[in-house]
Amino acid sequence: MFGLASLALYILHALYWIYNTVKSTFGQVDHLPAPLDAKRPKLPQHLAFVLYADSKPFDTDSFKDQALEAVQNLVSWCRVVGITRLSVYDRHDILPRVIADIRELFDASSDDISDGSVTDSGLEFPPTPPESDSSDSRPVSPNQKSQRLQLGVTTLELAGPQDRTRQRLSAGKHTLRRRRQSEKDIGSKTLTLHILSQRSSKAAISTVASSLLRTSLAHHRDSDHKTQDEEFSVSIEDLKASLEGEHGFPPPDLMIVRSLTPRKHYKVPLELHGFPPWQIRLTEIYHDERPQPHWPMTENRTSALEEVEFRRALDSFASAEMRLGR
Amino acid sequence: MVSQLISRCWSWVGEQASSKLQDALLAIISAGPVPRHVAFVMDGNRRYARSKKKMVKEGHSDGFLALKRVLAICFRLNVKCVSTYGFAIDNFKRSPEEVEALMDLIEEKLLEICQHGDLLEQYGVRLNIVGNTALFPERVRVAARKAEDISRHNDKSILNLCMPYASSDEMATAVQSAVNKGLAAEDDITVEDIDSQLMTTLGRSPPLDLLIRTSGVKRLSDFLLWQCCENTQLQFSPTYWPDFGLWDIVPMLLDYQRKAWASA
Repeated sequence: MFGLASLALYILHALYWIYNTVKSTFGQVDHLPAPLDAKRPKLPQHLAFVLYADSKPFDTDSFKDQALEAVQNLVSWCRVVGITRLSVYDRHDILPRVIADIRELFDASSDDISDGSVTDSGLEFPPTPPESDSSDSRPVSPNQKSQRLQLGVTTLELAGPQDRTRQRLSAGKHTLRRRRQSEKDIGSKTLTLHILSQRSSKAAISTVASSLLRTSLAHHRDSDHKTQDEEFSVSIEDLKASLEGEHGFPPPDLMIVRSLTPRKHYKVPLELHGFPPWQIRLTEIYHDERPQPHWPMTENRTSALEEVEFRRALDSFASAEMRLGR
Repeated sequence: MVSQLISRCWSWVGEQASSKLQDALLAIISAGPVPRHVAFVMDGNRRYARSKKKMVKEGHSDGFLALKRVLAICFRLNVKCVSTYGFAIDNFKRSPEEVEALMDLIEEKLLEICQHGDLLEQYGVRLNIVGNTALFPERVRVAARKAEDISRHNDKSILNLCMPYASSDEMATAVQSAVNKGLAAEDDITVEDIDSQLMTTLGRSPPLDLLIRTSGVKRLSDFLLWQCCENTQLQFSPTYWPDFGLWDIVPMLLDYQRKAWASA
């Protein structure tokens, strides 16, 4: 009886395969999304991109090249659209190890990178040498490093071309530069890029928890007997302040999940591949489960991430309704 | 008269055939791997009601019928754990009238479970109310405790009714528990420490394999974020929840089986 059921299951899967193949083949001919610079009723201010490879064996160099190309394209497209914050999560932790390559990428292409990280004081420090451990956020100053939470987020501020030109004309290479008072001059031109790793995910929450534990232990040592019996309380706001603060990253409005390798299967259901869970509470998720076209196969494949897919994601976001529990 | 009789016979034959076909389909699917833990965001009750020109209250009632239908499917497939997003903490922002109606419905259905626990007993289901129940009115808390008590002895499968629930609240609570446990040990908190303090883990739920959201919405809305961010397939169905049934879930189960076979 079990053998008969297994045979029937095999036939069912075969029929399902045929259905998805036909659907995928004819479904690829659909209407084009709106142009990149089209006026959309709603745009994400913060876009997240989840990169992964679903092929085995895993070619690290090839993935790195495609990931860097994807980051370069994404930054370019975000600028056109007006998205001011981009987070890129790499399932395989390759991008966090090549932060220097990312900086070089933008220096080489359009000179639109702003070196140094922006501090709360508004000061921008001169460029520093590449980090030995690129997966950590850069310290704002050596004295503060011991107090910093290591949440696995590297943040780069990419100034726009016009702003970069003004900065170069107004300041020398090794002097402190003050952030311009007008938010309009810098804010609208600057794109904040967060490079995320697996350390930014669940491990970041445990890092914050450990930090709270140390704070609590210090408090208990310093306090009297009465307060030592009290339970330590952690609120959503406590976690939010740490995970979404200057050493973390804020919740994205839209997330695009994309494999950078040619898909082996006709249909790839959505998974989040370990993306940080705290920040995705209300994030709109875009994922095209259809495979990339397998024909015609050409020698020179275009970018693994196509602009048309980016535009499709924006259109999908523009049409989404947010009720926020109401 | 004769035509009515023929029509009734034909309907009966159709229902019997449909029921047999569903049984056969479930038997075939359960010959392969099935997800251990499936979660549902039961979205679309109100839009369903508007599309059918019904009152919102009827949409929620039809949604409850859909829940019973889907639970029966899952437990017949030997899915070990089902989690449903019954009421979000954010839902308290709705109009007082609707919140009150939902509290009435929740209390009514919990008491119904207590009086007629057939489905729970039939499949040996232990009911867990997962959420910040302190936010519920007392009458709902009493009904929730009763419903949990009558099924506490069951150990074949688990039904998590997440209400009132928010994943951010669950994670903060888990971190708080981990920190307070850590005060004694004075060790750093690990990912496993936090995982062990989640409400779903404390209720002995297995890892989440499949999360389904209906009505075409493609967000998680603060539901099981920690549990679903890794090794979980997310399926967004355009069907409104009250219409969701076997033919909607079958492709999702087949997708899961392909992944399970590929990983083996």
